[in-house]
Amino acid sequence: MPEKLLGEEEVGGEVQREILAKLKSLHKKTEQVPGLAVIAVDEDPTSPSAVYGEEELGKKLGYHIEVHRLSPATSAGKIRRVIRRLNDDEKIHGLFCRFPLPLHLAEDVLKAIDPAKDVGGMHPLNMGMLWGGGASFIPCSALACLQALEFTKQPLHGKTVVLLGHSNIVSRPLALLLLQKNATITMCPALTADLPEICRSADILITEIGRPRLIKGGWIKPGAAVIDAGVTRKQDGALVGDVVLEEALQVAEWVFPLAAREAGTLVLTMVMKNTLKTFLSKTV
Amino acid sequence: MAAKIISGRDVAKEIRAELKEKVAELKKKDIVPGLGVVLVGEDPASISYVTSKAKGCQEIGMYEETIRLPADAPEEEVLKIIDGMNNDPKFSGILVQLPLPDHISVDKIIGYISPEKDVDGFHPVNVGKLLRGEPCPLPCTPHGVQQLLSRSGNDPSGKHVVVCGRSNIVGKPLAAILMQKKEGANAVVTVVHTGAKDISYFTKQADILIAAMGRPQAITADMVKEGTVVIDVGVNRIPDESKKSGFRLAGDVDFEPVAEKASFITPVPGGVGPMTVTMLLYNTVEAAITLNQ
Ligand SMILES: NC(=O)c1ccc[n+]([C@@H]2O[C@H](COP(=O)([O-])OP(=O)(O)OC[C@H]3O[C@@H](n4cnc5c(N)ncnc54)[C@H](OP(=O)(O)O)[C@@H]3O)[C@@H](O)[C@H]2O)c1
Repeated sequence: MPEKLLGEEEVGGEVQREILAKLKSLHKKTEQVPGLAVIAVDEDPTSPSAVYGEEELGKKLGYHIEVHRLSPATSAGKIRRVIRRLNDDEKIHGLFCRFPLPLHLAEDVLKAIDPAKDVGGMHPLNMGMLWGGGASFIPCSALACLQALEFTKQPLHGKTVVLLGHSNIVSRPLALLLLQKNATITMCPALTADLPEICRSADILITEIGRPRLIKGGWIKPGAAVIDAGVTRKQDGALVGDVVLEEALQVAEWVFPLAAREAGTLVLTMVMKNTLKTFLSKTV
Repeated sequence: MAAKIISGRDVAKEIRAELKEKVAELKKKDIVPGLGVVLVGEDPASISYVTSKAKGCQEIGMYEETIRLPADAPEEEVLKIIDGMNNDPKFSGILVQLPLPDHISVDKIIGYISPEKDVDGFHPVNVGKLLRGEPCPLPCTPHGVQQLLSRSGNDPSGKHVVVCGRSNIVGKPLAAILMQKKEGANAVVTVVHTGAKDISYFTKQADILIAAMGRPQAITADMVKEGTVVIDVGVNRIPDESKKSGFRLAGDVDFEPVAEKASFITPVPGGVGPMTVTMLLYNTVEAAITLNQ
């Protein structure tokens, strides 16, 4: 049942084709191209953006890409200076920090980014705008999941969505976005007593608890949609999700595993999509 | 009746006594928390809210100033007043009473209040922080609900909380508060609304049920499980000839029959109502502390 397995080609490919078409149509109007600056403080290999590569995708789409690699020992002040310079740089339409960031830097870094260039969607101002539905940028990982849901043409109205674990990049923004689309949402901390039962109530199950293969086929409602945003690196280097994938594929209508290599590209594609948005508002 | 009543009046009194002490302590350091209120127009409900806020400030020894503008006051005038309050150290909190007349953009006004003085907790930066679990002023009504739960011995941690309603001022912020990995929170939180096919499917699972729909008696006894904790945020006016005012207040919960099954329940009035202004006072005192650090 490979068609049940969603990945980059299905979801990201469509978005990339849209971006390319849009840029082609602008070709005659402007010499400029969208510019994305990436700040990579940590070379964590599980970081989705590190798995693929901004440069590669940027080249494919015709973006100007700058990756600023900084050692984890860099002071917060230094990083803020780098960010301020990029905030003022007219070539740069989007500014994105690879996550996870070293904890001592996360706050400073996030808040130094100009909310108007925050294509990762993590600035509190952008997170706050999700409330009323008027967000300028949807956090890129949440946007990837949303795009996957849209790709399957699942009606969301009245659906029961269960979100396991809450991160600022996936579940929290998704919960708000799905509420706006009239789904009922249940948000669970990672360790909830009756997890299997709660999972089984879900028409759409979204998990990101980072517990390798915790969620068994029997926990999934037949015909449900499953988004597995849990990414754990095994000792042998392979990435593994929260869901027992081969079992899930037997039960679910479709499964979208972010642990798959291509899902990292999808997240990056969303960063590109957000960058295009600022580019268009600045140049057209 | 089986359920114990959680009295918002009593809990509010307890918190106000704590605040009064805190304000007295701050005064020794020459810090006087102050609330600036802007009221546009003559809406009677708004006037009554603003009055109770002013009274609350006096009660705990805080400074308070209300600026009243006519209903046709231009937006720039409101912005100018906020600007003044943003820069005036007399005010640790600023509140613009909602609703505003149609010619004034609520988003613009709220976005203009300095986030440090935004004691309603509605500024997008504060909403973002709330969602992200960072320190911020918590929106008053949901914060009041959380206080009612923890101060009545009903710690939500590990419990299934079902919130009926998803408004920006009650349902969503309440869900955002209770899902955090923090003391007085860490719950499994479900949010339902009119898009749900059958809300009783969810309400029956609730260890803690919160009704914030604005629908009188929408929660009936067959929708709750035995022993559940019920917090009724709804305030509805029911026509009642026997009352001088011509109406009585009722919550979203069918009180008597639900109280037979519940373990705890809040009444309307006297439940969540008194908590909102109290938590506003709390935010204003906290803002004074932060601003003077
Ligand atoms: N201090 C206080 O005591 C205090 C403070 C604030 C509010 N309140 C009271 O709390 C109530 C809610 O206030 P609000 O401002 O949040 O109201 P609101 O903006 O009208 O929102 C009501 C919410 O309830 C949902 N809802 C309505 N009927 C429903 C039904 N039959 N089944 C499921 N969901 C339903 C609505 O769903 P949709 O989104 O799908 O329409 C909406 O999300 C009101 O009675 C208000 O007076 C009290």
